[in-house]
Amino acid sequence: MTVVSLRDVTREHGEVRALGGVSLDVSAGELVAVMGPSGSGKSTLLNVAGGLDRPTSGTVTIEGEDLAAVKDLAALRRTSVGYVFQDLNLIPSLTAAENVMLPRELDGVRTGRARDEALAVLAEVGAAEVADRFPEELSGGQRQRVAIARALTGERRLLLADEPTGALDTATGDEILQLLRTRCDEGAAVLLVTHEPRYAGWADRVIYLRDGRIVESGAVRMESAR
Amino acid sequence: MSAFRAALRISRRDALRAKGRTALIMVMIGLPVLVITAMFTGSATTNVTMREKLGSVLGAADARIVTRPFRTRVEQNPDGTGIGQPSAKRRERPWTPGEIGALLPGRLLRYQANVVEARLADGFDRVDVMEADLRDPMTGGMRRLVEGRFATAPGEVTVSPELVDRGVRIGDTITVWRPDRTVRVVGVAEHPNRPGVLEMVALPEGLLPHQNDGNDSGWLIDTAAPVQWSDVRRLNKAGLAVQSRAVIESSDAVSSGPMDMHRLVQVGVSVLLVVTETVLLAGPAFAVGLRRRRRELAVIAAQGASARQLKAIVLADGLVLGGAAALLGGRSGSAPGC
Repeated sequence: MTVVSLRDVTREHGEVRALGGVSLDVSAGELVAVMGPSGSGKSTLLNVAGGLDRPTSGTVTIEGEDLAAVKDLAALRRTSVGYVFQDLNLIPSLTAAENVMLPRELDGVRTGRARDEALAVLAEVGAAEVADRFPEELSGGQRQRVAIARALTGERRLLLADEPTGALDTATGDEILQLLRTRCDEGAAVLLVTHEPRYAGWADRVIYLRDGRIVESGAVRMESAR
Repeated sequence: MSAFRAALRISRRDALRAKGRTALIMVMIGLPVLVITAMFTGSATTNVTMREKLGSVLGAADARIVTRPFRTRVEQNPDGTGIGQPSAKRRERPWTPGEIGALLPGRLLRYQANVVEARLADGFDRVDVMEADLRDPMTGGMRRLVEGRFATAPGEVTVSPELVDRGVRIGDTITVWRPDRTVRVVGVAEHPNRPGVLEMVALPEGLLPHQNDGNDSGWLIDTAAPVQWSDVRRLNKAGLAVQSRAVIESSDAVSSGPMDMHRLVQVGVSVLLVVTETVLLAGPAFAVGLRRRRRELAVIAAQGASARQLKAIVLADGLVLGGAAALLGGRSGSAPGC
């Protein structure tokens, strides 16, 4: 089942064309890695796919809903899309659990229930013991686990990760990728932007972007690269 | 609702994290609130209204008749303030009790007041003098006898507790300058609403010389019926100012004229000043906070916060800090009045 689908998507910032006719489908249980040099449009692709940005032309569909027809993109993000960035993902003044609760609370879920859900997801990503700690008391890997937990809380199935391992050492990066892979195998759709070919090895599919276009798409699962 | 609760939680925690900024905003909002509250509290507790002063001014009398230097028509507020009178070419002869009685029948009791220089233990000081026979029931409530007795003969005075604090004792004599006299202290009497006043109370002309009309002198009057506004106007026409218990007690019914407008303008100006000052002081502090939080707000937006929810988070900041500062400022400002 396709979770997110892009059809001939372009995104122009004035004269600059960040994306030029990109078509891409990500299904439930699929981890797609997006690679390419700086300025190739990777982050723009992620922003457009998650509804943080609207395409200049083309269509983006998330779980069957055409974003062009969606009035409240914020509500769609709350219920369908989770973001994980390279760092500074978490609100420093909130504890890990409160960070995970936030999208649910913004969606109107009562605090008590949001907390129960948050603790459950934190346990799933192996961060239950840090629930009541503040981000500055956590290691880089723990912070990314919490961010992933937050991206998955509620019924969200599309996880967009922009260099989630960029600020981590290799071993911790591997752990985070392992976690993403696990979540994926349990039914999430993950779009992962990365510079590291070794992490692309965890993906079901790798696409290469250059100057806003997909230049190569390979359904290679490089077991050997892990 | 839970979204707003989350917003409040973020604001509260941020306020605790960035203590310097929080303190700055609290001071910027709290200080003007404190100053204005303190001013209002001070004014509300120290400015005694004429109705609150009734006892000390009228005692148990129905009215106080204030003589004027001329006998032209007097203009006055219902509470007896704001007295104005066009001057005449020459001063009239002094009012006599008989003339007053013809205008307004009733029992009269002479009073007069002035300020004298008195020699105290630590030098000369200005002391208020009030002269009225405090033994007369008509003066009941004007002064409270704390110790000793009221003056019964010329040359005898009661003193206020403040003078006792300045070393004056019952049985002492006080030398007064202008008029040059020596008076003997026979008691201590307290002014009901001027706690720190230096004051001596004597019988009429027991300390002061006879004071002519228009020189803070006149009569308290005990009438058969309450003195109405129409009576006041009638006496005004004859050239007398009147403070009537009945008129002052019902002064809500009669507009006190230009004073009300004046007060309204005062309140308006102070409200405007507080708001402007707070906006000018606290605005930049909040703006700096907002810039600092841009990244945080972006992260929250990525998690699905709508524009309205982001506004609510910024608003919660103002609510938490502004609310706390205003409360703190208001409380400390009004504390001296409690």
